[in-house]
Amino acid sequence: MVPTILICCASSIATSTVVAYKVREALEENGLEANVIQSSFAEMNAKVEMTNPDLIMVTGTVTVPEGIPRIVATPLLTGIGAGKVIEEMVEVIKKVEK
Amino acid sequence: MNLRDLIYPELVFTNIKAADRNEALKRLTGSLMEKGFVKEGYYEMLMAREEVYPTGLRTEPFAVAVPHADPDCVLKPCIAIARLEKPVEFDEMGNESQTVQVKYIFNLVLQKMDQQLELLQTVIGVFSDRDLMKRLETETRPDKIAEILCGMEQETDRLGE
Repeated sequence: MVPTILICCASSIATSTVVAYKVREALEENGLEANVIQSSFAEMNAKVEMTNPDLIMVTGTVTVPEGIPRIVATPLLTGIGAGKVIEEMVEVIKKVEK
Repeated sequence: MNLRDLIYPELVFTNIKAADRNEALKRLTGSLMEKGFVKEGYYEMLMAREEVYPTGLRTEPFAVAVPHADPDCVLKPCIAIARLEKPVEFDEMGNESQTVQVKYIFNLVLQKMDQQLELLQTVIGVFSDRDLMKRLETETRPDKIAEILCGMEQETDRLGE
């Protein structure tokens, strides 16, 4: 089954769009496949229930449901530490695909 | 729609004297309202969002903020830029209790955020470009600042050919 990544930002527009793009790009570069879904913090719990994500990436401090790996994606916006965030994401997805 | 369509030299403000974030944003949005880019209520919407979901980013060599709100009060899309001679404090995005001293505010005044992907990419791309950031740090002329930012896009276009 194709893994799902849920990207959550404050209002699910500006910042999550950029993060989603970078994530999709990185997945392609690494030959990985995943459903990338965007959501606002407000809708997060509902979306989690609906999509059962294997990974949640956030650009804010929000408590994610227990048991789901979480990565803070803000470095993808500042450029500082972005590489590490992508590495982490790829690692999580590789594990899921196995 | 690209950066060149959204950056207007007259929306690059280099003379905003503000004691704090609220004042800086009030002045910035005041100008936007005067020039017909946003409706009344935009400042309040912006602040409401900023309070709950701050947009300060710990970029280098100086911090930036990317305030934006829902498209409701937007009349005409643009990116308003404020260069603060004296940095003001913004809360850091996703990092409760941390703040950053913001030198440049990039107010993203867009109507359909999810359709402005390329544009957002370019703006965020600016932050990762050390040379560009260094130039912005010292440049004080609005038209030159606009040029630097639009030039970034041209560079990307050229590379893509």
